[in-house]
Amino acid sequence: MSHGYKVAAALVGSVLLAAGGFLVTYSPAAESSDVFSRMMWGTVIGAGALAAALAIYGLAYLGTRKQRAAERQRIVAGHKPGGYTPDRLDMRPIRPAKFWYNMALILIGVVFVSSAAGTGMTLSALLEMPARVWDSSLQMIGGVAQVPDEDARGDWSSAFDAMLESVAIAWIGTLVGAIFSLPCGILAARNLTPLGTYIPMRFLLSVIRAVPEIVFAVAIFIPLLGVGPAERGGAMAGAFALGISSIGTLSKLISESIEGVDQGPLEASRASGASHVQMIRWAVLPQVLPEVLAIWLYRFEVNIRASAILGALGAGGIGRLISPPNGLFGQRPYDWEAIGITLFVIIAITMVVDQVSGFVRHRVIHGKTVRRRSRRRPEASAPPEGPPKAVAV
Amino acid sequence: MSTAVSRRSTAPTPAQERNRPKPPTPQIPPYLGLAVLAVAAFYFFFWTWEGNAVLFFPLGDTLLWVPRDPMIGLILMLVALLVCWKLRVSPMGAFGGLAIIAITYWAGSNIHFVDRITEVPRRLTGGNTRDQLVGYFNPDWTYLLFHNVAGTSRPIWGEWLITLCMAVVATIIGCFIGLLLAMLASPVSSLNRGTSQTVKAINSVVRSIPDVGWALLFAAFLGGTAYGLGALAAVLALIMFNIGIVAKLLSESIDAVQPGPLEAADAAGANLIQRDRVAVLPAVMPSFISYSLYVFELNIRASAALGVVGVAGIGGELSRQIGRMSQGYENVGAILWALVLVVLMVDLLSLWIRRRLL
Amino acid sequence: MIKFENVDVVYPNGFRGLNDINLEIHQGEFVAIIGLSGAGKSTLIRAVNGLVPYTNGTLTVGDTVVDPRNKSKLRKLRSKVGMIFQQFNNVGRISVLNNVLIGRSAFTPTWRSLIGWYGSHDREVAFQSLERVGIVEKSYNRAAALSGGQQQRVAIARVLAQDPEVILADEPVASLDPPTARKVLGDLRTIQRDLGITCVVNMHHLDLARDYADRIIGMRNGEVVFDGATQDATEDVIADVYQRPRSADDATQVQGGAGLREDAENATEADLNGPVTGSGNDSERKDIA
Repeated sequence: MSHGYKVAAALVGSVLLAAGGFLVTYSPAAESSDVFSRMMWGTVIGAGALAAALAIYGLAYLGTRKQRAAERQRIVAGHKPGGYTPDRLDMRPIRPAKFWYNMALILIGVVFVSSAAGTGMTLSALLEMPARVWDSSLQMIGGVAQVPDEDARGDWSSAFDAMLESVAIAWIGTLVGAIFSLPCGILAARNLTPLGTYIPMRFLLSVIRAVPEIVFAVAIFIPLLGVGPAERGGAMAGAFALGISSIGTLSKLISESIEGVDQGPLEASRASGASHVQMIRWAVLPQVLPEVLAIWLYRFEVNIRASAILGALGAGGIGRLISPPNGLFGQRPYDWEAIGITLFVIIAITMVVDQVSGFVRHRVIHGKTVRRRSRRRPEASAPPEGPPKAVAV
Repeated sequence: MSTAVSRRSTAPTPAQERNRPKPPTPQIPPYLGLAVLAVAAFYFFFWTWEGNAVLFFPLGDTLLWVPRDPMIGLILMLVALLVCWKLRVSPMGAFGGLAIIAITYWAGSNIHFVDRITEVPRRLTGGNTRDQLVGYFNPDWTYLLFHNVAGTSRPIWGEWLITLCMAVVATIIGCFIGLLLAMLASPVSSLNRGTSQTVKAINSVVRSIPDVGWALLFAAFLGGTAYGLGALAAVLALIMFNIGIVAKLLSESIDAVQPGPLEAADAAGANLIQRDRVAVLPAVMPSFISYSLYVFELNIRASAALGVVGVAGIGGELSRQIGRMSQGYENVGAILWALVLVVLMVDLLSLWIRRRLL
Repeated sequence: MIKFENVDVVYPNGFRGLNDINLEIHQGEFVAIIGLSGAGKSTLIRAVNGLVPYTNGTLTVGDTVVDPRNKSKLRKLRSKVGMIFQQFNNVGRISVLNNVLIGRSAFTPTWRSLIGWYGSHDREVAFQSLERVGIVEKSYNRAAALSGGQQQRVAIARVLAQDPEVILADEPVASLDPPTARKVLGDLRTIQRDLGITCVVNMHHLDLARDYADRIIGMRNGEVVFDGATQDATEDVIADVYQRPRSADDATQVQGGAGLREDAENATEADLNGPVTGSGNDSERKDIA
């Protein structure tokens, strides 16, 4: 059970990493960008700490050499009192060295340290945070709990309006995505489409998936449809950006669920001479439609959250209400009561929509009877020998 | 075969007609109720109606007028009901269709769908929309590579590094906390039912606040102004965002873990932590890795976007450039194109890792 | 060793799993429990280590009273009582050695199992258990990559790693093919004899029970209907345990439709019971048809 060589390899690797990082800190790139130099220093520190730890561990490991040899002797001699004396000790396999696995873990650690250094976070700010959180939470709760006066009523109604606008944006976006995603999904399903269509479609969909929605919003739809509140087209831009970027994910999920359908009905309809479209209509769609509907609804939930970031860019919805410079968080001092009310409305409406959509999804997939999941608790499990039919007799 | 077909008559005999089961017809009362709902929705549309286009119906000596858009909505809903009736859709299905139309109408009117769509051609021809689009497709790459952030000595590519760093840090911390919370949230691995319900409730609150909201909240909590605060607020926001996703997805995976090994660990006298470690964790490890990679992809996008509200990274530069867009659109175009490239590269990387590991 | 005194098990849904069981199982016995599906065999076994809490009576293992409410006492008890399952219940994605080390959980500090750093003594025990069941060469393979017989051996090794005083086995060979089943049971029997472990095994296969057990306990509807040495378990007794109907009329009167269905499900037992009863069953079924 010697793993000394692994320790040595890791030690050499981390020392090399530290040295390389140190050298790079003198490169012109590090001199022009302090982020990069911080990252490199982070690498040096991380790899150096690792090397030190490994060195200490290696020394300790070397120190136990005699003990390990004695232990091996003892096992071989079978001195263990009352133990089982194996006669086939040579059958024991050598422990496989998970070298790359360990290296990957170490690398993740070093990358973490260097990234944490690269961000340049001032962690001392965290110390003051709890007090502020406490203060402002009290104010927020007070804002929500109070009997609304004139200001608070305005906050409530503007929060509701903005959140409902977000829901509307997400709905239109999902609708746009849904309309395009069904044909795209069918065209990107390997079992329904010839290779000539399948490959370009897949490529197109992965390109759409790779483009973040803020790119769609800023580059295409805000110039096309306008920016700002709903009357000036911001909401529309957000909806369309969400819709187009929904197409990618939705089509991928739909094509996967189409590829997973039961092949029997497809063969049967093909055998009875159905055309391609007939086969899709009568053999594929009935099988996948519940799942597709569930996928659409799930995307609706995602889109509600995504619409917030677009709002910050100038597309409408809740993001516009909260983001600076004109939103709630742009005011000084912070109007914590209004923020509390807005957060409450966001949480409440999002959760309501989630619940409704979750209910509909469950209903669509499992039918009218809400199947009760019999989750076995570890203790007191249900009778493992089948239903209690013996009692019924 | 042909004889068999030719012997068929085209119409059924009366006896056959009697014996055949009738196709199930939906009941009338639920459909009447749905029609009432449609009319109620019409009144709601009328109540929230902001336009002024009306239709006139000359009806004898009185002139009836109705608001145009809500009327179109009502007609659409009634037509949908009629179609559902003809197709013998169950009342529940018809209600679903009605709800979809009504919500779509409401959403469309809320974001001024028709007005904006009709304005697109005018915007395309006039104004600076054309210039904008042209600018975006002719990005200025030298700006991205060699310029500094305005007024500082920080190069633009350093901002990209910050964005990546924030994503990495947030992914690692967030996924780890998410793993712990998922263990607590699933009744399979949790202490007891109460803990699991509480953690689930907390998690759904965490998930319902969007990432922008978290970023702004943390920026405020950390006491800085929202602009130029640095990366800490963004990292904390992304961590919350990741916790929500990982805890939800992973707790669902834990729910589906095979109960057998858990029972075996119990029977061997393991305590809860040991059981979760030896029996639950290995079973959900592949999904955990897969979700972590997914979250990392999301984080790249989100950390670029979060800069928009003023935290560090390329998003901050993006919003600054959007703010001075009158000087040209090439810079914004370059950032957006580079964003697409970076996201694409990260996607490919995570695809590669997924292939290697799973 | 294991003592049931008026033990009842009532499930939360009101189903009576065990009804007034009085049993004493002695040190070093190999006991087979037979009965129809739903007769309460698994419940009996799981009550012993508290996986199913009993609701009434007293159940003692060794000197300790099984107390389903006291978790830490229960864990202490479980460390002495190993359990083997029908579906092996190995964690498929980790190595065989780590699976066996699960058996050491009760003797390992939590932090050690948390970071997966077991002490050398634990590893030695695990290796020796694996050597005893003869698959030590697979120690670092994934458990899921093994065949059914090997997986069950891993499960036995996991139990052996506990240094158990009692081994409970819930249908240990029901999902193995007959030759493998005999081999695994033979191993279990040898180990049990060598180490003087008390062994309680649920059996589906009657001939296996006859070949390997010292004592057979027959159960029906949560009650013990036969308890005696293996040689006392004659055909008549077995027929009584399984409630084979003597005629079709009896079947419908005594058990209603369920009796016949259960017979059909347990066709394997009918086959194992020898050609006479098996063909008798068939002819009855034809008569009814």
